[in-house]
Amino acid sequence: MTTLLLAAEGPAAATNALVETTTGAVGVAWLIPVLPLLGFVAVLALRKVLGERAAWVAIGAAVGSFLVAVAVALQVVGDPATYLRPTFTWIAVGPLEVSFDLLVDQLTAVLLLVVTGVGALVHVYSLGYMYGDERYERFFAYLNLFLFSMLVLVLGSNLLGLFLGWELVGLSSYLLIGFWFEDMDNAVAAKKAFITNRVGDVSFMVAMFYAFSIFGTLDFFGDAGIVTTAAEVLSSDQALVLGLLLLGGAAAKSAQIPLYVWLPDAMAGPTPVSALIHAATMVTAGVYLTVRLSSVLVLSGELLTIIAWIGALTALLAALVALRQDDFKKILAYSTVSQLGYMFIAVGAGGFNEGIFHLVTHAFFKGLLFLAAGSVMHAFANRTDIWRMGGVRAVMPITFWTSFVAWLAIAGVPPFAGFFSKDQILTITYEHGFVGPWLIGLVTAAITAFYMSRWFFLVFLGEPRWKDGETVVDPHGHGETRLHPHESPRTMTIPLVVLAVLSAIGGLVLNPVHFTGPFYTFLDPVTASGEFTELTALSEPVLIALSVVAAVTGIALAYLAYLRRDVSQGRMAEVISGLPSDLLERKFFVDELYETVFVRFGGWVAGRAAWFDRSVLDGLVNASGAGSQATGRLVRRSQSGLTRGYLAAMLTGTVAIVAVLLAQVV
Amino acid sequence: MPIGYYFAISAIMFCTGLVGVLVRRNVLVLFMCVELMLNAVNLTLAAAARMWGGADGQVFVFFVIVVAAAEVVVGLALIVNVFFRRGTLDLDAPQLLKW
Repeated sequence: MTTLLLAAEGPAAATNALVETTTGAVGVAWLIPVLPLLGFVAVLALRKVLGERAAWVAIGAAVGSFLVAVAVALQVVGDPATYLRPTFTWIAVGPLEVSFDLLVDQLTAVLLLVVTGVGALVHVYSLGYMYGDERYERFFAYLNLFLFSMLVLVLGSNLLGLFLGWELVGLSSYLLIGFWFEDMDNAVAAKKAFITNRVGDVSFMVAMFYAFSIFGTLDFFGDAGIVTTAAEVLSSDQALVLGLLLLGGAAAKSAQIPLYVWLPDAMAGPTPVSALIHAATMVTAGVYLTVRLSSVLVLSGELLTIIAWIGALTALLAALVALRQDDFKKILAYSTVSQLGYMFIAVGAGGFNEGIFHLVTHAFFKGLLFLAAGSVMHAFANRTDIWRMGGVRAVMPITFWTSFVAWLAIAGVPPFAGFFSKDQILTITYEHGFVGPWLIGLVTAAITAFYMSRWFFLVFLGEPRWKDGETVVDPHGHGETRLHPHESPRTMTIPLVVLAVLSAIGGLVLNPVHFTGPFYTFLDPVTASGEFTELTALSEPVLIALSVVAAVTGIALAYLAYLRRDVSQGRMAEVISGLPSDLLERKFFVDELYETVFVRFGGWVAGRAAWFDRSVLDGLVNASGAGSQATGRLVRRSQSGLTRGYLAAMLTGTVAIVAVLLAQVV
Repeated sequence: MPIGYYFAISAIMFCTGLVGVLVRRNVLVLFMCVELMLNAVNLTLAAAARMWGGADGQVFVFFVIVVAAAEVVVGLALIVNVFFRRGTLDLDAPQLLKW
């Protein structure tokens, strides 16, 4: 065990050289964000001309972007370094000089592949899923806009460039969540996501100001770069402040306590959006940010502890809530919040490589779960209540088998992808001495296995709790249809199969052994390593065994509760009942709490402030105006229009002036 | 003749002009009164120049006469135009500047 730790944290860890280049694959890295941007513009401009074929423009842009990303990633793999692709200066004001240079290193390469890869698959999937929608073309334009935003975020070589992408991502997420804005609930959900993210953005902006005041630059790398010089420049307290501000931004984007509330509601958007944005890409932006600035985070032990605990509590809370949700997209949403919690545990425990590894595998299996859910919804006329499904296995074999893989992957069953990443997070958390978050993580692993099994069993196995040919009212207001579940078209099943393969073998191929796996060693040069009190009481095999036991326990309990028992009465058959059940079903009343504190009380404060503004501040301004008017009304009497009056006044004035002057002389 | 006589005549002329400017309503008369005031000043300047034996005051008188001539040209042109437009030279009639 000690040898493994040495390998991870010894001086052997390689560091990257900074290479400025305009040649090779990195030289054309600008194509990666530009292609989707062009796609966005082209689809919007030509959607009337091209009609449904506009979707292919968007898909072409996404796939092209993916191919360039692959080329760039291959260059980084072949010749690991931190590449800087100079483009142009964006802002130059005094000491503040912000360039639009593209940054490509190992971390960027990984995210580029995930974003463009999953992005391209979701584009293809949407071809079938969104077919027949009245704003079909616009959906693809928005998807391209989102890809562009996310790629700007990932490629930014300074905090402001990252922030630009960060904001664009917020915008495109808003557009996509509220895509079916005719329904008030969807519009409200979009607004909630946007506003909650705004809270984090403020924190991010203050972090940028603070970083600039310390470093005099916003660049990550270079002579004064934040990542390069953090260790020499920052004191522990400064790192704590900067880290907390950044964490505020990251917690909003990556749906952590206390800003996670927007993500479950964001399921109002079309399901491909949930897969792309709220499972695989956008929500990982916060994790990316923290890992990008890992050299700042490791300077403050308190900061890391805070992050780890926030992650642990988020993971646990969201997993508990997921236990009693009936909407099967909501279950997946809370599961996403929970899995993001794991990534924050990893970041807090100093396991940055593990965090990114889980980000990647999570993108595979959670993207797959969402797409599978979409496939089922597609067949069931947008029904989302798991109690009115069951036995879907028989009618949708491909969706069933791909979901089967995703279920095992997220539950943490070896040798599927989720097992490796989750287990490695728990291992590093334990070995770096974060016993509390580790224990919570282990318990959450069991809960995860339980609720995901509940999801899987109730939807795909057991007796059908629906009738073929029954009349259903479409929740999106498309009228009534006859229920006749069938396998989805090939455009939808192919992405499912691809993601299923990745979910199955992704972990095994990328990083089968913790500290010496190819993924770990690939990422190691770009992530910082902190100093931790190492715990070695439990050896790695024991830790692995514990996580497997947790997973199996969860699955076994769910089997007893939902597969062995008769669940034909639907919700009444739930095993947990009474107060705890209500508490979970109402999501611990967090939404109600926020409603009271922020919406009601905040609204009251805002109302009073508005009153103060209108009556006192505006009153002062208006009073000065009214005063001038009154004076004018009084003084204008002197303008009689009588010329001789003016002359008399002139005379009087002259005499008065002369009199004064004479008086002074005499 | 003592200098005071010149000043007295000048003062009488000036005040006559001033009163005329203030009380008369006809613009043409008003204009003539202004000329009277100017020439009262001219008289003072010339008398004072003679008293001190310098040329400054006399030079100044010529300036005033030249400026007055120019002013008369402009003023008369204005008066003629005003008359054509309004058909009256009553100073109190057009009260365009009244509030």
